[in-house]
Amino acid sequence: MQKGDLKFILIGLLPALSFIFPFTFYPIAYAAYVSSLRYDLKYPEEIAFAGFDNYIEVLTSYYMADSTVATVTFVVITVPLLVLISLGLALLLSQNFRGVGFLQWLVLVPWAVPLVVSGAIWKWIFDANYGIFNAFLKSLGLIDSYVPWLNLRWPALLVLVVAFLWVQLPLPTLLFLAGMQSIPAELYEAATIDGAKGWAKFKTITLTWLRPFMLIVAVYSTLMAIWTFDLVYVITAGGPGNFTAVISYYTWSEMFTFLNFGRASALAFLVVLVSIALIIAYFRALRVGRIRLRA
Amino acid sequence: MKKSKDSKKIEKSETPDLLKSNISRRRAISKAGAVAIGAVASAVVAGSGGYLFGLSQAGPGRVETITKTVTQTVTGTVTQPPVGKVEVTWGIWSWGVELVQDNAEKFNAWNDDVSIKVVDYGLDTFFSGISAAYTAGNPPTIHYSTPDVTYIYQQNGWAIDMEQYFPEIRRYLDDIFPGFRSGFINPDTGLMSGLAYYGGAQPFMYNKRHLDEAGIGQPPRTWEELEEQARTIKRKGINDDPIGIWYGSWGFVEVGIYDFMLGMAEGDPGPYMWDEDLNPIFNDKGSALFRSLRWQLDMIHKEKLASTKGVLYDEAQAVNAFGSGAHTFFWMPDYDLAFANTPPSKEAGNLRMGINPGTGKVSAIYRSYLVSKATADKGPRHLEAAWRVMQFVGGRTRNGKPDFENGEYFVCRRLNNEKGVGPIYISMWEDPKYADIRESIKSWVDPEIKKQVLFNTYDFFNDPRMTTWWSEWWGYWQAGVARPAIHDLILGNAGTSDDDILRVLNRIAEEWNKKKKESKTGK
Amino acid sequence: MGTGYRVAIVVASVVVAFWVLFPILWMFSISIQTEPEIHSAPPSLWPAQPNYFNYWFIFDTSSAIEARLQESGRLTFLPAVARWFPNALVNSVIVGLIITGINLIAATLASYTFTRIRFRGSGLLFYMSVAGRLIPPVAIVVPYYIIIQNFFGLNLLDTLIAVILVHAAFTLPINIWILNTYLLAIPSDIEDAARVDGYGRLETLFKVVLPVIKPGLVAIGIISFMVSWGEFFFSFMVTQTQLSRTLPVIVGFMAAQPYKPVGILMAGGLVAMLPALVIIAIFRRYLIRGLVAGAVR
Repeated sequence: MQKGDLKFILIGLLPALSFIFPFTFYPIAYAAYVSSLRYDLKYPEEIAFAGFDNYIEVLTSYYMADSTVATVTFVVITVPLLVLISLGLALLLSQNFRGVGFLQWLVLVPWAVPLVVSGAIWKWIFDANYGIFNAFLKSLGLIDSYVPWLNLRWPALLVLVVAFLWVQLPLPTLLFLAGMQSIPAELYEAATIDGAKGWAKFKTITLTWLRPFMLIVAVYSTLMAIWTFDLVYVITAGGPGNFTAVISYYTWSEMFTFLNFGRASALAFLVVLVSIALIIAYFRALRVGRIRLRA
Repeated sequence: MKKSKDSKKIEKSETPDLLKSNISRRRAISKAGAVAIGAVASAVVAGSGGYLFGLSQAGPGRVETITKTVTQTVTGTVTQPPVGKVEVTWGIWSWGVELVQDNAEKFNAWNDDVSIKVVDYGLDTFFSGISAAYTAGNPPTIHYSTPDVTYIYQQNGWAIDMEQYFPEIRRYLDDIFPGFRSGFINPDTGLMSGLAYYGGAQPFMYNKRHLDEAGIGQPPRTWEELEEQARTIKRKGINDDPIGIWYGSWGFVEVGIYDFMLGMAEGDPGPYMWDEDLNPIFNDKGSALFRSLRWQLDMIHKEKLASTKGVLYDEAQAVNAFGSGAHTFFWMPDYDLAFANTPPSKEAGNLRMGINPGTGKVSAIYRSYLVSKATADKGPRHLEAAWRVMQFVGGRTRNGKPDFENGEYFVCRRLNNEKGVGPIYISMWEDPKYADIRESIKSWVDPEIKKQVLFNTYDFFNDPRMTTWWSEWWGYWQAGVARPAIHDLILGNAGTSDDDILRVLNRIAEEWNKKKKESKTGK
Repeated sequence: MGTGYRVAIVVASVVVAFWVLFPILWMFSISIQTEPEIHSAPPSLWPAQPNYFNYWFIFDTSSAIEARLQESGRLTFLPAVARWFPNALVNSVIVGLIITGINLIAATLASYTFTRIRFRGSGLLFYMSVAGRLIPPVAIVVPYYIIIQNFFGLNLLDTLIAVILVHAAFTLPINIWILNTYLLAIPSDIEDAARVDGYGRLETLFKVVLPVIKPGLVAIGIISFMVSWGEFFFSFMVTQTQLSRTLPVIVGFMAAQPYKPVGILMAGGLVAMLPALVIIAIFRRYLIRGLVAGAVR
């Protein structure tokens, strides 16, 4: 830290932190506090401190096991897909060819669509009576009559996966693209001079350089997958017999249907704990070590 | 609201800065985790009076205001009523909001000592919004209510029985169709709680065009006839999925359960689900529910006259499906027929309401008005104003002033004529001065049939009676256990034999018994 | 660059274009069909006669409702909330632009500070900023509401300022993190050289660093706008009247009707996309143009 830096630190950090901090501590602390209360809006006289009761109730509730399975399944399917496909897309978009600028813009289009509309269109595409997917399959002779896809367990889940990918791909792709565009060209040149071929170059230079970006993308994708609520609500409403009722669906239910804020907050905190654990795991796995910047 | 200063008392960590190797970044993350937890813990432990104060103040109140949308009345801004004027807040959900506002405006024009302010609590958020408002102590004066929720509010002492203050309200009870009356009486006090917003049923409906094309002259009167007609229609290629089995979208109390069950319950006046002590009676091979599930499974999986499509329809999909001819026979809320049978719906003009095959009985749907206890606490002037408004929105008035003898059901009439939402006051169907009621719905339904249907309703919310823990169960039992279990059964995931059905029903019954034991009142 | 490579590019591009465009075009097709057409099996890929009622409805709700009333008698079940659509559109644009501005300035400053200056507690402050984003929105919406209601003595509920504050609180952390990652990968040699030459920190930031991190800035600019544009939950919670609501909320209300008017919803969705798409296009081109010139590698 050098002379005069203190002033700069203040100038540098004050704008951002003054927006962020008021909305950081109080909400978390509040949510933690409420999660320790027995707080059911239907029985207001009974609000009382309940310690870890909410957590225990939530963990042993009828929905915990199934919902965890649903959530884990969803996350395990979508996150790798999201990371890999966005990486591939970014690779495509970082090439130099006519129309790449347009394609870069195109890839961001799904992001502009309001989430409820995205959910609605995907639901409509797979509609049991008028869905175009059914029409397509029938015209190919693959099915005799329209199938209610969303009534079937795995198809419903897969529709959710497709919708999720469609909605979420833009951001990771953008991040990877920005990352790729900052890789100094000399690195590649140097490697080629050394006789390295395409794949090797990709692996040692691109992937290594992108590791910290991969971390962000992995964290972001996982959080988004765990928190996915809107799509589930619109497309399957928890799916055939609660099959696609992921944990965020219950957080919402606890809060708005059962009106039990205590349990809703407890559930949210459990999700936070899991998220933190996952983030730490990602850090380790990606072994985001120091990047060699010079030969 | 000051955030706790304690949260700033974070342990001074020797966190290395970001520029160094990233092993330290990992350590820093776990430290950050610790920091976050520490901040949280300290805040919790601090648990200061400030928090508790904040909580009681802005606790539920915040949810109330979060979820409510204050809609302006059509005339413009909401201004403070002049001194002497009592303001009555009318809590609604987002349906037909323009009509509601217009009605409020008319009332305000007719009355200069009472004024209505409309407050819209949203659609999905209605229940949470109003509950929060009650908990915070500032509920609306008068608001819509559904039967299950009415009971909770009565139990909590939040809503009052209007009959307690205005005994003359009882006169309206006889004018309500018999099948609905139990819904307006508080089971604990026997007093009438409020007037009706609207009432209807989930009647049997059919697509006349399909029937005509199949050469069928009359809608089916028995379930056997229904099956035969469906078979003919399918065989002739008119419709591939003639029997539309829909499960409703707002709970266990659903079309797929009740309307079939009621129709097949020959010679059984009920109750169908629970006995007087609220023990399950449906998990028995002889029960009406069993019979109807058996029939549905046969129609879907054996005879292929129905499909599982409808199991997950939400109300919009159901209306659209029937309204576009995806099914020939259907059961759904009667007011939805107004939408399905008028342009631009595809099958506009082809749809008809019918009498449920078999017993003809169908499930009752109704909504009522409740007045909050807070209003009563404000004093007789407010209570009087609330009663005036209740009579305007759910009773008889003339020029906005209550008039039981000669007034007319102003709002109810408009709801019918402009929205197709049927009134449950018998006089509106029989009295000549309400001939326009029948006229206005002629374009989409035969008034005679509709009236007949209203006489055939069964109030399953009082089957046999409300229970204290209905609200708990509404959430956990029906949403978490019963509904998914029945869905799985119908989808074919749980087997289709008689024993399978019984197994599912037993499981549901078991959960019910478990919850019953746990419940505080054990009633 | 062999032909194999060229073919791969073309194929990949076509696949990507299809993946993105099929739902969009399908949405458009639905939005210009009438309800009976939408509800027919098999659905037609494109209507024989396009019908623009839905678009008219969004922009001039009252007269559209009137017209429909004339046509079909007294019953209309169209989402009248659509009358707030144009207003919400404007609100979203305003909020989006302001948020982008806030992010570009505040996130860049903060990120530069975090990555170029070593000081005690920098890591801590950074992680604390990010921590706030780890908790699912539904659990913290209530505290947000309370904070807005008591913001240093002002009740900011139901104002666009509230929406801006909330959006800033959420977009800043991740943007700072992204820029950090970006900046850390860029060697600070040139900056050190500049410092030695007597440039102050701020000058270095503007003259030396900014040109180099343009792709990063594009990224966070776009992210800021888009996250703000699409944000529904908090925007809904801190506003109360339709006047101050943003686009996703109004579209959400249109969809929450018991009778989902698919056509209108699609029309709404498409129109709701347009400003965002324009912003992305402008942003991308404007800033990327400077990239080549600023490449200091």
